[in-house]
Parts: sequence; C-alpha cells; structure tokens
Amino acid sequence: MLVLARMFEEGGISTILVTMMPSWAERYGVPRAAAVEFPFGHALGLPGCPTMQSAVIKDALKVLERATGPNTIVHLDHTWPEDESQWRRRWQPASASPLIARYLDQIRGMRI
Amino acid sequence: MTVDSYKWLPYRLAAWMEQEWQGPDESARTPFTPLAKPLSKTRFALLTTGGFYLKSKQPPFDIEREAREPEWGDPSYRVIPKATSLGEIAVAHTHYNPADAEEDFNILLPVHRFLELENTGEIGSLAPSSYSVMGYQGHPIPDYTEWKERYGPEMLEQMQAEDVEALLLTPA
Repeated sequence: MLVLARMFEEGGISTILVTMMPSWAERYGVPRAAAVEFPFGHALGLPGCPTMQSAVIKDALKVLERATGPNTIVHLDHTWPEDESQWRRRWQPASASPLIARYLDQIRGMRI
Repeated sequence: MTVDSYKWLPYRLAAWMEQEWQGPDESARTPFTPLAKPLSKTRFALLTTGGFYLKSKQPPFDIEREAREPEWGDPSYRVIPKATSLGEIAVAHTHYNPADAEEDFNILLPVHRFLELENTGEIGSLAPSSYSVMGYQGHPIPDYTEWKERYGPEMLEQMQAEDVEALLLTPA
C-alpha cells in the first residue's frame, strides 16, 4: 500500500493513507498518513456505523489538507469502542492464511 | 495518543513480523504533491487493499494459487464504480476476517461516506471509479513488480482520465 501511495503521489495525485501500522509507514516513508489504533480490516471503524466512519474520514481529510511536506504522520485519538481482548481474535481469518500456516512452527518458536 | 502498530497481533506473530518484514527506509525520497485546491473543490478516488471484487461481475483475487504458493499474492486490481450498493462486494483475502467488510464495505472503501461529503459540498466530488487490490504481495520480500510496471500505471491512467486530484488509501 505504501508503494502505491508513493507511486500515485509521484504521478501528481495528493494521497492520504489511513494506517493501522504507522511504524511501517514511518520507516518506508509515506506522503501523508493518519494512524488509527483499529483492528485489521477495520481502517474506518465498525460496519453499520456511518458516524464513526465519517469522523475518521474527516480527520484523515484534515491531515490531507494541512500537510506541508512528505512523511507527515498524524496519530488520531479515536479508540476502538468494543472489547479489545475479543477483537484481538475477531479480526483474524477463520483459518490461518497459507503463509502463516507454512511458517507456524517458526512463529511459535519466537522468543518474546 | 501514539498508535501501537502491533496492538492487535498475537505477541509471537508480532515478533515474527518485526523480524521478517523490516522494509527499507525510503523516507528521504518520499514524493509529495501539494493539494492544489480546497477539499470542497477537490475530486477524489478511493483505493483499498482489502481484496474487494464485484460479486458475479468480476473474478475474485486468485487465492487458490496463493493456497498452492503461499509466498505469492495476486497483484491484479478491480475497479469499483461509484454506484455500488451494499451486498454487491465480496472479499478474496486470506489474511483477515472479511465478514464485516462484506457486510459494509464502507469500513474499507467508503464510497457512501464520500457521496455524503459530495452532497454536503465538503469535497468537490467522488470520481466514477474507485479501486481495490489485494494487499498481500508475497514473502519474504513482497514482489511489487506488477504493481509498479503494469497495474499501478493502469490505475493512475484511469485516475488521470477521470481528473482525480486526491486519493484516500485504506489498508486491510
């Protein structure tokens, strides 16, 4: 996604990325980003909640409007409104992706 | 607040991703196109990496090949028209639970929210076409060749033909 943002920006389009992974955006470099601490697959909020979606979008558009140079990353204050421990599992696919399935032993062996 | 990029990930998966997916630092060369007009005059398009396609009108992203070749991800894209209703989009993406996005695609591709902003005059307009790719592009080093050489330029050409000035990108 960062690759695409940079490509379109270079092509003359002003881009704003909403991201759950600001550390990646910071490292690789992004024209403009608004960071949200939301579960994966839910960049703009909950389904059926237009008020929440619009609030995040309007904040992202402010970042687009106000940024004066590249690598502008603004962390938004929105918090996830539902139970966090439940959502740590709920965003995940029902079964592991082919990649994760292949590397499961390696992942389980990680030291934390 | 400071957003924690790893908040929602199991600890061992987060550690593995940190180890495996350290991308290069390209921030010194980040491009920048200043917004040319106020939002109220600006024409937008939307792009998500959520793996969206139009049910029965477009083929899904190739997650069957991904199942056979877990280190490959489909680089193609789909055009999602402005006049798309809830229920018309399905998701082919193996790395997140797509149930909520299939119920309300606006959580990743906010077509209806942007039509509201167009109606209230808060933005100039939403272009006829928005876009979806499937974000997973391979492991251990994502292969962006097709995005850079073929599909990216095709999407850019269509955006330019539709006078798009700004783009909202939303990862899954």
